[in-house]
Amino acid sequence: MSKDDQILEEFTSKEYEHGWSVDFEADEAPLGINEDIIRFISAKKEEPEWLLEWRLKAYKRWTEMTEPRWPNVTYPAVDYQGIKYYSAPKQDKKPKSLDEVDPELLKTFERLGISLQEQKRLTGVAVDAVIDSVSVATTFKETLSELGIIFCSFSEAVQEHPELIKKYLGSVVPASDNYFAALNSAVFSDGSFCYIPKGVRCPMELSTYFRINAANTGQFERTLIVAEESSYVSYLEGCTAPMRDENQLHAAVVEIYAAKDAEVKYSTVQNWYPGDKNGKGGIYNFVTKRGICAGDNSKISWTQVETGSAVTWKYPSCILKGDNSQGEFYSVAVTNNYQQADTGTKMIHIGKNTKSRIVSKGISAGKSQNSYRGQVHIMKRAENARNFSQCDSLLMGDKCGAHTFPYIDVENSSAQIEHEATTSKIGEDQIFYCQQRGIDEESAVALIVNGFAKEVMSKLPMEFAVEAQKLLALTLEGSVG
Amino acid sequence: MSEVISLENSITSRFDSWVKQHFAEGSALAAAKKAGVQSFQSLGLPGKKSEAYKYTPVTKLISKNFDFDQEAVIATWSKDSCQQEFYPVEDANHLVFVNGQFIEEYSVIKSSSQELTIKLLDEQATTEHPEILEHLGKTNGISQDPFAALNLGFFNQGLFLKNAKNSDAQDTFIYQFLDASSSSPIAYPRILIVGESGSRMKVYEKTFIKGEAKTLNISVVEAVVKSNAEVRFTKLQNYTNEAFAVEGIYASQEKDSRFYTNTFSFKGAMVRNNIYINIDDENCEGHMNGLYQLSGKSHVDNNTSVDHRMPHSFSNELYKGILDESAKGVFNGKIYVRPDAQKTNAFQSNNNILLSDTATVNTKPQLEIWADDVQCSHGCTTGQLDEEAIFYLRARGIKEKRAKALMLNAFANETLQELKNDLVKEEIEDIITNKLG
Repeated sequence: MSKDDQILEEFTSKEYEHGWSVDFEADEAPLGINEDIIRFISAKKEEPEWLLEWRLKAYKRWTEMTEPRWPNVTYPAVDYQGIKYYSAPKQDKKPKSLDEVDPELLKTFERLGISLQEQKRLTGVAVDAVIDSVSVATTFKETLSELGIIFCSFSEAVQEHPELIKKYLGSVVPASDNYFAALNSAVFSDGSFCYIPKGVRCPMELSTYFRINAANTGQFERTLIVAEESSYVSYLEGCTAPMRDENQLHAAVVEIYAAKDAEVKYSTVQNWYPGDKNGKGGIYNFVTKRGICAGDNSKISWTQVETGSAVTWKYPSCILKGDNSQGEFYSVAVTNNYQQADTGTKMIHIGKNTKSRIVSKGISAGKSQNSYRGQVHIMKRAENARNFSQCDSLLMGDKCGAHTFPYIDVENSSAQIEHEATTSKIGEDQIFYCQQRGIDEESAVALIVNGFAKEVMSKLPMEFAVEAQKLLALTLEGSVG
Repeated sequence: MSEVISLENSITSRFDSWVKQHFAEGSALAAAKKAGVQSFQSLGLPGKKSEAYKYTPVTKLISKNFDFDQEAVIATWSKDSCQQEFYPVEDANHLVFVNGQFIEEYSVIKSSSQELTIKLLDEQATTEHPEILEHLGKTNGISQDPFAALNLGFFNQGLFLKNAKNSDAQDTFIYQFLDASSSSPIAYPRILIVGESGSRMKVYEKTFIKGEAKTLNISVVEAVVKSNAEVRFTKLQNYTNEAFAVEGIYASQEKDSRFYTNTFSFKGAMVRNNIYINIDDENCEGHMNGLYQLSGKSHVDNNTSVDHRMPHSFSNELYKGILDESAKGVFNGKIYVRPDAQKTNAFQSNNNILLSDTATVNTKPQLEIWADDVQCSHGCTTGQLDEEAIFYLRARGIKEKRAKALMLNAFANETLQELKNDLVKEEIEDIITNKLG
């Protein structure tokens, strides 16, 4: 076995470090989906009548739709009747404070490196922790509420702030937007809700941590962020799942609403279980994420580091409706073994002087397929729109693929659009250069990959950047041959 | 949907009786044609959701106002009126098509038959040149397009061009004459080009339309470029406002060969170009250049694809668009690099300038890369003329309009670099300048 093969072997046998699961008593819905299940979920959540109606309507639309087949991914059909749509760790009563939360749950998050004890946190990050279908704890709620910021689980928000939920739910991603969004609208079980009032700059990073634990379940969470006039918030999302042989479905919806002069920064480090080295198991990650810059001068920025999931189908988008609004998308997508990712963004320019920037870095190794699919649409009235897109792909090994599908639609003559894409591999000369200077091959690759992804990594909040860099190194170690 | 089906039916229902009339039953050619129509029926016309025809809704535009019965179409082009339009080049081949059919007696052929075979693509030719059946409708990529399949079924009096080994043939001009003065014809021109090893040839195609009625041109050019051969194919599309066209160029390249296409589109109700280059062996070069300079309600869709199947090849693509008034330009460029095609260099660039707010451009440059040791890139821009450059010219006493025309001319000129014939080049330069005013 040559050295290269050895390194490759070492890497591919490296295990997914969050692959364990914990047994807690769970409160579950029976397998399958039908109107009764939706009523069951809604009743569990003690939801008002209008929300149940909304869910049922979404379900009806979902049954009329067909699963999209256009993404550049292949996977066996999902058996929608073989999934449990609701699973919650059993808790006798709603915990009032962290002291009442099941210690097993707390330990689970400790093990994931997410401390739910406020005093233990080094930096000011407020966390909403979601296991399977429900939110188990939200930290720093009081500190935030002093500023008028609402940060809580979605179910809590439905109870306590129904007027806000009613106003914004489905306003950015309508229930019938696409197949998976409709499914999510029908069965979503929990998620996070965040409301930043006018003129408030959120003093800490808000974060949601998702964990799939139970077998045979799907996770359908919904995140809604509303940033009122002149407010600012930075939001983080992280996720892991146990190693299981079967594929699990994760179909989430994230909606962001930014009013005049507001700014929202949304960062994701996606590390769902990617399946084993033979492509068995792993999460199907079919996510709809969209933000609307509704007011003038607003800004939405998406940053994502995608390293996990067996199949990813995800296009965080910005609708730039307000004049002078800005949309940004920074992405690093890494695929290895049999992973498939079809990801990118949509920038819809509607207002005047709107700007968007897309930087997408794809790294494929093993037998994986990595696609960038994006759209830049300049509407007729979007005077002086500006877009810059850059999509670079790095290939490691000759069994993987890198693909680019950009759609550029321009209807206004004052628009300035630039798009460029390159595909290449790590040059032997680059590695040689490093080796000459005493850097071994492995470190040289890490160095080059890090440099390749740096533009995106630098956009991540500090806490996440460290984790993401570690993930990147772990995912690609030894994969050059 | 039912409208699409009825349109398909009105096209194909005539096939059986028509093919009997023109082709001997049981002949290999008739069988190939039958397969073409069957393939069209299974593919169907691209509907609303077709990704390949996303920005060019053909069925909506083509509608049913054509004379599907080819025999009912009247062609008033005479030999003289055709020959008047020839480029004034003595030592060249001038080949005439009227309503999609090659007319040998109107044509002027200067090349010796030892060098360049120019033949009607009929049953006799298929027995004399068995390679015709080997290549006809067999180029990779051709079977996916319903219009190419339709052409295979319905072409009559196509053209077979074969350049002999090591022959450096004279320029070949192909003139397509369409008569839309009293009927709305559908033309199905078909050209099969075989460039034997070491040969070189240049082909120029131009279309003339008489009359105000609608025309639909469904054409297919297939080129087989053998080892170390070179084929250059140039198309000038300056149609009428009632002209519809779906034109395909499909090439397959053998070792060390070179293939060039130049496409210049200036006018047309809906023009769709499908260009598909297959790099089937090592060390090939494939080039695609194009310009679409449109105004009014013209709509031009360039759909191009390079399929790198083997290592060590090079492809380059440059398309430029200038869009004024309510024109619509579509560019879809695909670079496909297969797992075996290591050491491929593939480049693609698409630049657009929009001159009015009602003009639209949709571009989709696409890379699909399955090999790792490659260099591929695409770039695409949409914008306006550089204000500072205009100011520079105006500061030197050049009027704004003139300054803009100068800049646009320079912008467009880059696409002319691979054009080897001065007459054609001048003609295209004149059209560009005139359009800029």
